Amino acid sequence: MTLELNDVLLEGERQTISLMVHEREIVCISATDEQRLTRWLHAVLGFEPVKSGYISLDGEPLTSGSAALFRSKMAFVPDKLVPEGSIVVYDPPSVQDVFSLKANRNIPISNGILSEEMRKVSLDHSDDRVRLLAVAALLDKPLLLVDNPPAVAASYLLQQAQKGKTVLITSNLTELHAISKSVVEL
Amino acid sequence: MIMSMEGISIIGIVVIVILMAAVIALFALIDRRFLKRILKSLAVAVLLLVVTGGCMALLNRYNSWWIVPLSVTLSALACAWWESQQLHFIAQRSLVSLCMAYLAAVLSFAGMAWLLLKNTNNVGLLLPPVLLLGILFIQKSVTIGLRTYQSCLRHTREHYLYLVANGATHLEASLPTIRRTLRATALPLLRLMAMPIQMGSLLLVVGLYIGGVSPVTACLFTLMLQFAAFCSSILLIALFILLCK
Repeated sequence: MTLELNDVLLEGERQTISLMVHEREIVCISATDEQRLTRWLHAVLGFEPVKSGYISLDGEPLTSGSAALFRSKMAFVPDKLVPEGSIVVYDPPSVQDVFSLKANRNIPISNGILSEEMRKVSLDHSDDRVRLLAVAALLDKPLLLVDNPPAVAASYLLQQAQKGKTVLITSNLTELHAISKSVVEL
Repeated sequence: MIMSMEGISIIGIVVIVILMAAVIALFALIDRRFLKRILKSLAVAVLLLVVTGGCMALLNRYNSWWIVPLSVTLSALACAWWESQQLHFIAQRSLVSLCMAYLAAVLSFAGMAWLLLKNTNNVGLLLPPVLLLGILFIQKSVTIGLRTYQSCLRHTREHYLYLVANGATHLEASLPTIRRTLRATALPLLRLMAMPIQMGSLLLVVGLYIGGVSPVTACLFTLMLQFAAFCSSILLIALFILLCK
C-alpha cells in the first residue's frame, strides 16, 4: 500500500508537504510545533480539509466520500488521549471499546494478547502510548499512522514496517528519524 | 373581566396577605438587602401568574380550533429560542435542528395529553395549560441534557477522532456522548418524580383535588403527565442529536 501526499496544503499552514510512503517503509514528519504535526495525520485520516494538492492511497485520491473507506485500511495512534479543557469525569476509550466496534469485532483480543504485544513495544508500560501502539498493531491494518511515538518504540515500528506495513509517523526524536527512510521537515 | 372567586374565601386571602406583609416588614427591619430579593421574586411570581391567568382567560373567551396548533408551535419555538440563548453553540450551528426537535417533542406531549383528556368536555380549552405544564417539566431536563451534550462534544473530540480513525462509525464513536446526554436528561426528571414536593406534582394533585377531581384520578393524571414529559424529553434530545449528525 502506497500513501502519497502531493503538494498538500492545509488551512492555516504556509508550507506544503510532498511525500510518498511505500510498504515496508517508515516516513517521519518533523516540526517544532507538535500540534501542527497532529494536523497532518488528521488530514491523512480525512479529518482536516485539504486546501490544495491531494492525498492518495494506491493512486486513489482521498475525498470526503472515500475517507471512510481509506480509514478502514488505517490504524491510528494518537499522541495522547485526554479530554480538552477541565472536566470532572472522563472515561477514555478502552481497548474493549476499540475491539467491540463492528469493524474490529472479528479480531482476536484478550488481556494476554494485549500484554504480549505491549511487551514487544516496551517493557515499561507506564507510557499510555505503548498501549495505544499495541492496540493499533493488533488491528493489523496495512497503514499505520503514529503521532509522536516514544523513542523506545523505534525497533517495534521497524518490525511493523518489516512485516509489510506502510508506516507514517510524526516525531522530533533522532531515534525515530534514524529508522525512517526519509524525514520531512516542516 | 370579572374573575370568579368560587371556593376561595375573601377572609382567607386577607389573612394570608396580612401575614405576608408582616413577614416582609420583618425582613425590612432586620435584613434590608435580602428584602429587595424577596420583593423582586414576588413581583416576578405575580407577573407570571397574571400572564398565565390572562392567557387562560383569553383562551376561555376566544375558544377556537386553531388555539391548540398555535400554542404548540409558539411554545416549541419559544423554548428552542430560549435554549439557544443559553447554549451559544446551538444558536450558531443547530437552531433549526433544535426547533424541529422541540416541535416534535411538544407535539408528542400534546398528543399524549390529548389522549389523556379526550373524554373531558373541553379538550381544546384544557390542552394549552396542560401543554404549559408539560413544557415546564421538560425544560429543565432538556437544558441539562443539551449542556451535557455540548460539553461532551467540546471535551471529547480526541476521543471521537480516535475511535473513528480506528474503525468506528459516527454512531459508534458518538455513543458515549449520547449515553451521557440521555442519562443527564433523564436524571433530573427521575429525581423530581421520586421527590414530588420539589417538582410541584403534589401541588398539581392538590390543585386538581380542589378543582373537584377525585384523588385517584388526580394522582393518575399527574403520574401520566410526568411519564409523557419524560418520554418527550428523551425524544427531543434523541431527535436533536440525530438531526445534528
